[in-house]
Amino acid sequence: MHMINFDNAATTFPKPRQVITTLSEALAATGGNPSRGGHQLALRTAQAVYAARDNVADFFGTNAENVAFTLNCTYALNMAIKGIMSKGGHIIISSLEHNSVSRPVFALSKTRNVSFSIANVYSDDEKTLRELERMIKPSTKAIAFTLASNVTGQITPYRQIGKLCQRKGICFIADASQLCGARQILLDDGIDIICTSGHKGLYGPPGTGILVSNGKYPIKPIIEGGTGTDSKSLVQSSRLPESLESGTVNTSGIIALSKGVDFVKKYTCERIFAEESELCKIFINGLAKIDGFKIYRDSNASYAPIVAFNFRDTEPEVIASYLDNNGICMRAGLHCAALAHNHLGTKQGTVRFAPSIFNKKEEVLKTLRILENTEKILLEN
Amino acid sequence: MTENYRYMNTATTFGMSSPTMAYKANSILKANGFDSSIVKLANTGNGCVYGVSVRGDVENAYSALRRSGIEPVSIQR
Repeated sequence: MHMINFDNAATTFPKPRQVITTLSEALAATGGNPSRGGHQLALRTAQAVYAARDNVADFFGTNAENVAFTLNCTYALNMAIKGIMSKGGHIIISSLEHNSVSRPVFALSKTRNVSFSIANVYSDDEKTLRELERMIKPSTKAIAFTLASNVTGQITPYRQIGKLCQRKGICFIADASQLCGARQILLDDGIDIICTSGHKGLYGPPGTGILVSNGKYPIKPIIEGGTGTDSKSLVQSSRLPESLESGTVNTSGIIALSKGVDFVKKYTCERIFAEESELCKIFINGLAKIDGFKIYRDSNASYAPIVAFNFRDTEPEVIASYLDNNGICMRAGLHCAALAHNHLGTKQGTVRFAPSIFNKKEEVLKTLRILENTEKILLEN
Repeated sequence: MTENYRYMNTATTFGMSSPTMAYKANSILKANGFDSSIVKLANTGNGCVYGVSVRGDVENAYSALRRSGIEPVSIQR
């Protein structure tokens, strides 16, 4: 049975051919430890990592030294949130946050005298912004907001939030994981720290994440160790990006990630967004014609190419299992985002349709044909 | 920088604040036509320091780095 993957919001699969070949080639040819030794193998590897860093920096409209490579977006967000809030203070997060934001913030509230508020995200951006601004206190140090929900795909008004943060002198930490690659995200959008995964919309390998900082708000490292600089000192270097990259980096993954970024640059974010959104539209229109399906979208909001849905009061996992038995991969449940499901009122979770640029219209139509039989199959079982 | 650094044939090494800045400096110098390469410095007193070794018009190389916002942390002849 031909497998169809619509779980690309978790990680994109398949990867572009050049990412796959580069990963293998990098492991074979640039296997030194970058920024450690002075021999040719180490220097060649460090040059390749620098080239990747420079390429990623260009994608986010900044300089190479502002780009730190991490293991994934969760690591980047933990570094940013804990690094900015290390001395306490108030932080505002959104009602759509993934656990990679809500859990570090909750942990800080128990250990570091950090207080937090949760701002609702509405379909009306102005209402969202008003509520957010009302929550700002003199002690507010940061706003950590997702750019797009990993559950519904709803895009938050991040450019306006950026302006608000700049006006108030608050650090804006953005979880760009679900929007990066589908939209061009820049530090010029008013974001101080962009955190994103490399393995989702940037089509890199798993084990790659990115933290991009404009350097305005110093990030206290949460991991200390070797940085390849000032090694005599017991004090962790404060220089970006090495201060956030203690230990050996995922060299081959980073070099391959750069090829994924090249793929997105060539294809363009606009085209990726348009093509994936078109698949979502076909899916939504098809699903709307089948009795019993509920789609979690609001006509007043804008969305990344993700569709959340449920079938009557059936457990989402039952639908995902039924789809899986028919060769279709979709993720069901809470998507590590309990806050978002509380906000939506979907305590059982949802099923998530998340196409990539490699999915075809025919695959969506096949999925819809399978979903047409949902009720009948459920009754039989 | 003094006139002494001009038009030297021997390599001069600019120590950089981090490995990334060393590679950035090397990239800038190469883009400006300089013969440069990355080196790991010895006897720095601070442990690992990476730098960029340049041959030729060192003063102009230094100026090219400063124009790009890069300030070497040390200069070794």
